[in-house]
Amino acid sequence: MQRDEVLAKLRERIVRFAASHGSGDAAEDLAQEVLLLLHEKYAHLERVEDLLPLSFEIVRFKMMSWRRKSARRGEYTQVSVTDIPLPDLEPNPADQLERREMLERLTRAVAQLGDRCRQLMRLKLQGKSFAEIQQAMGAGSLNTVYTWDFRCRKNLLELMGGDWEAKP
Amino acid sequence: MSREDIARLLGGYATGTLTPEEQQALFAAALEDQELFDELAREQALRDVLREPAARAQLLAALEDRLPWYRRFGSWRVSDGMPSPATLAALAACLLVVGALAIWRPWHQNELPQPSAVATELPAEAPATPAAPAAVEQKGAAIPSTTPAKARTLLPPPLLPRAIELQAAPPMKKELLAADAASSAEPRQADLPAAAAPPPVNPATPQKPQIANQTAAADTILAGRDSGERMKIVPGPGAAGALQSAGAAAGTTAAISAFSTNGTQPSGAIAIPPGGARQLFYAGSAVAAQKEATESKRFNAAVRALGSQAALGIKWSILRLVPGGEYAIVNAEDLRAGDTVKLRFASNQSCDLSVFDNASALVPLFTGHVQAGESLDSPPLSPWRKGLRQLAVLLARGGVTAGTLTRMPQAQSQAQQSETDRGEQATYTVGPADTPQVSLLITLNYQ
Repeated sequence: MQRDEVLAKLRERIVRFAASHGSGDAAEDLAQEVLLLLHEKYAHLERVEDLLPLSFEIVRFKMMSWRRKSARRGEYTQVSVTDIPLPDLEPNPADQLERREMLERLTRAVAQLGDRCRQLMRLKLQGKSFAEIQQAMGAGSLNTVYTWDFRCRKNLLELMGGDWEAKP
Repeated sequence: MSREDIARLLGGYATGTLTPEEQQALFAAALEDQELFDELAREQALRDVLREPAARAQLLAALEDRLPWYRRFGSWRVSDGMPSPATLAALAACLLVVGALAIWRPWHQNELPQPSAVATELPAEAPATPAAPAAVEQKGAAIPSTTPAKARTLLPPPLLPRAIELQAAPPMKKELLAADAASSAEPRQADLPAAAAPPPVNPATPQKPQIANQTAAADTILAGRDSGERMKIVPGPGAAGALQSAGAAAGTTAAISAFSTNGTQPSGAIAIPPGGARQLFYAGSAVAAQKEATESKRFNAAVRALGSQAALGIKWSILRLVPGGEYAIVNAEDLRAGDTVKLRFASNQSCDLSVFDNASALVPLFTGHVQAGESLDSPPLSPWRKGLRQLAVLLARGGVTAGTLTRMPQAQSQAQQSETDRGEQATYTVGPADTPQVSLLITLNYQ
């Protein structure tokens, strides 16, 4: 898939994602900002495996930033899109606090997982691939491991209250 | 790969578990499928956290921690997949045990009332056993005396083994009824007659137990019973002497027990089974003894006299502040770094208590007076980092002075007994009978 084709699809997905997550009218702007950043700062990236995770990261930072600003002053709509500076992707104190809180919730949640999920999670955090996990856990097939992982992720997400991030 | 198959790869995105092929398949599908794209975008928050090595290490530590059994119970879920056969077997075993207990406990409580009599295990040839003025020969249940064993002088903990009394009760009951009937017609003696030695026991020939009607009341002595869980019920007025004589006759065994007219132990005595620090703790409890024998003033006097010489003991538990602001008793190994912890002490005798932080430097934490049989909580201890924390506790009958402090190491090296009761989540430490102080080290292990 060519870069332009990837970016076009990305734009469409980001607009819909942002629109469904409360950004409303700003969804188009958000997608535009992401693409602008990808174009200006990451023009060397071509593959979908690089572009997609990066765009997720930028979308997340931007949405968090907009949410905070909106909650704080309720005036983000008064700022022209062209005036919004390019975001610093380094975590600021607020990000760090949110991340620490999320880690604490995550730590409590993983401790409540069942034995199999704990083992699976442990192996994943140790950097094992699914094939290696299959061997380590003695699963009959790779599909079995995928299924276990899918259920464990669902279980963990439930223990976290349905979302990885705490709801504002 | 179908959409469902690809969706199962989602869990690998945040942890970086996916191979390049799996990643490519997932991302390509996400560009085509809005729902998958949204889910993947939501995984980014988790991915950001898991990218930090410190966060990974923290989660790995949480996963490595072995949960306490009661928390593991909660984590046995079917949603992980099917529960393992071992899990099902453990659950079935637990249900069986609970069921058996539910049946056994009411039956046990109905059949075996709590003891209310002083008892010591005496040697057959123990010379200090008070002689029976009118001994009645036991005709049934002739049980031979056996090899000498340690004599014990102990007060009963809440649960006592009484199977042997039950077995022997029916034949004895007749005699006891007779003895009681006779005794009710006679005036109660003010004092016991001088103690006399029971006849020597020949291990080769079975000896018939004897029942002694000593005080013309229901208090009786039955000698020559089985060796397994033998007890002697010492008559109320002679309790102190009997306890002391039993203690002096360590290393010998006698089979003595007694029953009141209803087949239970007489109310004026205290049953003393064999045991460790926990039972020694209760044995030294003057308060408990007095409570057990409220009907007998003479017995109270004897116990008070005994109380001053009985072993000083302490029972302690660890309490942790739990959500809601309450403190709950926990095991020492269940503490976590940063927990707010208190200690709960109970002593079997009134005495002064001091707690020191850092056992090597003896930094005073608090001092208080503990009434016999009552508990005293320490103030909340300052939160502690991960690791061991050692506290020194000093219990002194005559108050904590500089002298008692200097004797702490010596007291610790004396023959103190310690026993942890997992059920109560408490530890008992009891010193020698004639020592006015007990000191111990409490190690808190913050995980």
